[in-house]
Amino acid sequence: MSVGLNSFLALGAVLFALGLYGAVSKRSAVMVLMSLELMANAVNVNLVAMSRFLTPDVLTGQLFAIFIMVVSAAEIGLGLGLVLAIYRETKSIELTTMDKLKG
Amino acid sequence: MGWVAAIPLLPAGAFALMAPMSRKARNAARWLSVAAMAIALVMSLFVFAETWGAAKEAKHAKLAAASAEAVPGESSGELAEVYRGTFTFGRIGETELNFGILVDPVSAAMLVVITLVGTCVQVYSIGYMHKDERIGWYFAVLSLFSAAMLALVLADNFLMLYLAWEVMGLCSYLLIGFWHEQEAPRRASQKAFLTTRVGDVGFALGLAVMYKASGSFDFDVVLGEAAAWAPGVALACALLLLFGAMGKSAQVPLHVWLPDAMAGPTPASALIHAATMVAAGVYLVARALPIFEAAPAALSVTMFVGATTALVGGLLGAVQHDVKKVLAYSTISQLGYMFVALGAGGFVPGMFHLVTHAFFKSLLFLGAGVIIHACHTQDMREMGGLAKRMPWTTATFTAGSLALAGIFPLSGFWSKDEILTALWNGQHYVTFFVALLAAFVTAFYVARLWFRVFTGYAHHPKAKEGHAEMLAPMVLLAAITAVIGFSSPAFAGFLGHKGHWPAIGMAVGSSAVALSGLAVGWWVYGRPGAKLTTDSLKHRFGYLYDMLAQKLYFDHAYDAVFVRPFVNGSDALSRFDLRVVDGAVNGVAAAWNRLCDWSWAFDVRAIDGAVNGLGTSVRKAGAQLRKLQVGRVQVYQKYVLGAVVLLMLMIAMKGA
Repeated sequence: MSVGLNSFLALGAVLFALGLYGAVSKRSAVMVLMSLELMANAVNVNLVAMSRFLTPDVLTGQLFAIFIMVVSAAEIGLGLGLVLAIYRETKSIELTTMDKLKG
Repeated sequence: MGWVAAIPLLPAGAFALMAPMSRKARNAARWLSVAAMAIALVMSLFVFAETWGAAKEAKHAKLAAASAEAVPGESSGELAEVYRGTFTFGRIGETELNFGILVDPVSAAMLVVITLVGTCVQVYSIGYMHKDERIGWYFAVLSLFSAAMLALVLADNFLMLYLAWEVMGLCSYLLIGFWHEQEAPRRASQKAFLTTRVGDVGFALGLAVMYKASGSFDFDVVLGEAAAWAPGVALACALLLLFGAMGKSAQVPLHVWLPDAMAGPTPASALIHAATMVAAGVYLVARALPIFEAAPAALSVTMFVGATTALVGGLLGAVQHDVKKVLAYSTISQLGYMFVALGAGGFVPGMFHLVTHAFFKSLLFLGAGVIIHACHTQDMREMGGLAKRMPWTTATFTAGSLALAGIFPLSGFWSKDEILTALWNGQHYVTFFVALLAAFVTAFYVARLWFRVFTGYAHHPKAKEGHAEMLAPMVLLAAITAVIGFSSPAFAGFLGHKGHWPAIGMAVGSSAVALSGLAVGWWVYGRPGAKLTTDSLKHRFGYLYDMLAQKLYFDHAYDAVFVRPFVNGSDALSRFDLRVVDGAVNGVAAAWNRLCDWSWAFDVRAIDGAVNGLGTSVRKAGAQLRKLQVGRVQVYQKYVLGAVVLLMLMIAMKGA
């Protein structure tokens, strides 16, 4: 059995589902950030797979994936910074306690 | 001679200036009124001089024409017209309404009389009224009155005459009720106004008849056409005008207001209720005489009214105790004399008596004013013995009294003589003897008044003579009274008639009657040891005396026939007003109130309820929605997840 597009898409879907589950259910802010990274990488898998199998002549998908990695690296940096700042204030990184902005 | 218009406009201007002033300024400005009157007097004298010359020329021209045509020249009664000017102030259809000025001998003579007496009265008033706090208003109204009277005699049409007539009525009302803090002047002013108004209705109707008949109010047109009118029309017009004149000139049975009018200030009585306004009725009849001549019955009625009034006024004057009321009844009686003269067709005697009466009666009133000031009462039973204390007043008052009684050579003798002559020549023998009887009564009450006031027991031994500004006009009027009689033939000539000196027989006869009246008066009131009570009279004449003392029951009759039913009717109408009309109005108001209550309730409950309800429900919905925003990121993620799932389900079901 050759590894085809559908296998990659399935892998992406599984990764995305795992990430989504983590983002929704984890109480630790660090864990949620990691889950977000997982979902971004699921998208990257899809992009690279689509690019490789559907348009092999151009590298749009691969370039996009690299772009996303750069952006999510920055994003993680910012997110962890925020988490550290909040931890210094409240000695806690539990998302359930971060509800200061509610109406 | 356009400046003639300034004669009435001067006092009118004085009134217009004084009326809007403050009381203090107006009191200070009383000189304005006196000055306006004095200037009007000077101008009137100029007008008179000019008219006198013109009348003489006209007479010569007429005589020349008469001799050329060899017609026996009996006087035609034409008046020489000197000046005429018109000012149109309105238009009804084809008819122009004019303020016209007509200067002829009659109006020129009236101008002099009015301004002369008016100036005398105003100068006198400065002394008489000097303590009154509303003296300015008094002078202002006096000015307005003078303006109206002057406009009346200058009018060249009946409509303008009527307008001036009514303004005079207003001034008369204001001056009679001048001391309106008191009850009597207030009532008297209303009585005077309403009674003369009864006559004025006749006048207005007469104007209507006149206009219907000739389509104009102008003296020229109306009087020229009057002879050609249907007899009924002329009679109706003449009688209606006569009725108006009777109201103004206080003729029986409309005389009741004049004695009461004595409640006003005495100088005002002298000017208005003796010399000028009450003579306006005589002037009206004299002006409209051609209409009366077109209907001989009207002349007879005029004569009858005049004779009745002359006698009744004299008799009533003989039992009054109030000095001013004696003079008021005397005025009524003398005005009756003038009507008698006019009724006999005696234009000149009527006018001449008007002139002489104006002077001697205003003199008597001014004298009465001084006496009232000195004695602080109007009741002559509380006077007496004033001759020693007040020589000037006594002398001038005596001159006026003798003129009124008709004693040679004072003015009353001449004019009364002319009237009697006119009656005799016109073969009105009954009226002639009534007039003689009235002359006798006149002499009697003159003697009564004089002896009770100036002789006998002095009730006021410290009575003081009047001030100079009060005495000077009286002296002037007394001088005029003394000499004006001699102008009798000239006056007749001035009015375009043939003048004559009195016949000896008539003069002796009337003098005898007057002297016998004075003698009887002296015997009853003046002789030493006369009993000055009314008891003996009451005892001797009983019912007759009561009848006179009750003023022949005129006031009682009017009270019973007109006043009380009217008051009762007014009361009934007032009750109707209170109950039915006010009830209806109040009912509507109450219904409206109720409606408003309902509207208020609807407003509060339905409209405010809807608005408030909307607000409340929005707020509640907002509170519910607020619960969705919990502030926890993961909850929002779940919302998004749910939404995406729903979206995907939708896409799956619809097949993209």
